[in-house]
Amino acid sequence: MTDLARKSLHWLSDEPHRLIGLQILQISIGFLVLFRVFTEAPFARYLYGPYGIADGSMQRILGSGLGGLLDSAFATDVGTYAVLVTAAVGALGLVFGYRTRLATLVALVPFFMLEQRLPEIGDGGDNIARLTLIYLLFALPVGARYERKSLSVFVHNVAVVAILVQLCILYETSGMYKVMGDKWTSGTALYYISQVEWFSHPAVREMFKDPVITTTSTYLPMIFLIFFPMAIFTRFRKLWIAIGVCFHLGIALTMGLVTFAMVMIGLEMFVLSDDEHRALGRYLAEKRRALRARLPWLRPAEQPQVE
Amino acid sequence: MTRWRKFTETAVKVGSLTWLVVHFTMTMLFVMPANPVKLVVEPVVNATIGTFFGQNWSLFAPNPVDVDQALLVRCLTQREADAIATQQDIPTDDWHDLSTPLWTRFQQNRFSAYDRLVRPQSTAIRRYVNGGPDTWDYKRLCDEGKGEDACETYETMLEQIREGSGGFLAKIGSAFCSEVQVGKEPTSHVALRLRQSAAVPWTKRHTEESEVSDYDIGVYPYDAGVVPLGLYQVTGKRS
Repeated sequence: MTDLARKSLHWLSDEPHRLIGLQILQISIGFLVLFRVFTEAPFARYLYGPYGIADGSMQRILGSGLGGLLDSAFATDVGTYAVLVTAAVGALGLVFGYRTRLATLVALVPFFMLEQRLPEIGDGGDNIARLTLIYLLFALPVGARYERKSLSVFVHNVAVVAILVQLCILYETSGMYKVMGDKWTSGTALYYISQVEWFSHPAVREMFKDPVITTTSTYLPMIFLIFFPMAIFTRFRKLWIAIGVCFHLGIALTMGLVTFAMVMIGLEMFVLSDDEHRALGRYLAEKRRALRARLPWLRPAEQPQVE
Repeated sequence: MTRWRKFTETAVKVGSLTWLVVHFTMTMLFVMPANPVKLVVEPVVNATIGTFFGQNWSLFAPNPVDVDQALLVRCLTQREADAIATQQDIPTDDWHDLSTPLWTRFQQNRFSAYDRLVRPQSTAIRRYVNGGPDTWDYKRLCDEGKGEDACETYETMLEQIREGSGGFLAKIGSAFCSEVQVGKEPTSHVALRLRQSAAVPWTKRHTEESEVSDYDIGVYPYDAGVVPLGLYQVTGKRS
């Protein structure tokens, strides 16, 4: 066995990885599901109900038996709302780290049902969230006891690898398709996107008429996406994650893709190891202390002395 | 550890690693643009990854969104529908833009459902116009003159997709007509129109304004059973 294969097997077998990143990812997906449930619930009858616009079915994927059974949930308004409530319950479990494996399943099933019921409503964020939820079913539940080198640790780590590979495929494919496009290679793609109503904000429309801003903001994402799978294995990993987080915050603010940004930031934080998360936590705590020392009004009020 | 347990553990480990390799090899083939290997394994990849792990990461590529495509609806009475059927033109007045008000509200409040509410119509319109991602490879091959089969397949797919998308958009139009027709003559049909306004080309960004053009999608029977959205009474934009 080669050294690399031996190291890889040890990495998979010995200890569970990305436990902190996993929690962040679960929370981000939980918030995505909650956001969708709470914003769409007032329009659930129109969107998903038996007399709504949706006509999708689970039967294409799960067959007439199970698929038909799940479809029947949308045969009544009560059933439609029950699907949304179930999704919210699962999402709350993910956000609060309560029985996360069960919560993942409880969130995944109704989320998948809604996606199949009205495929036209989804975006890339929903797509990656659904795939990630499937892989998360095999991850160790939050706070679970585990035995080193046990089978559950191995399966957990395979799920971790699956999520990371899926993320790399997402970024690499997206980057590759962009390189194939004339407007991306000519550095004007962001100008065009910024001029349409759906994915832009009037406040940034003029800004993207500037050649430097447009060219830079078109090329940077391409470079970020294409080199992501390589960068996360080098010393540029933290820089790439920081760029990714800023990039997706920008997407949320300017393009309005809030839920997409939410899940992508969760996935980016998942790339960092547990040690890196701890180091980041220490660094942020240190910065907070330093800031409080500099700015007295940020200090908590002193407790009065009790005689 | 018993021999049986050890055997089971080894089998699960080998099985999960094998799944990892096979699954993601197929996933890569699924998401890649058309290539010789993909064409060979396409049926298997579509039946597995395409069905259970469907995904599309083109995300604003290769061609970014550069045009606003709004859905316009005209609620038609039986009389008006009969007149259209006898070769008369669709009325020019009382058309309602269902997309723009939702985009405007979404720009005002990013933490809202407006994006999700406009998505069904926008996605269906885009699919109606360009056939959607499933047809793009055939379209490209057809445009490049690489085989008549590709052109034929593309045309057949596009026709089916347009039939489905048109029907779906008619439901959205019907829901709107149910919402606004209170006290008016009953609606019997809905006429659908696409209003397209393309971004000004980069080189003319300081000198020209966006051009707006309308395309008729068709006239469909009104579906009285569709639940109204309940927002257009307030935000409906007449044009």
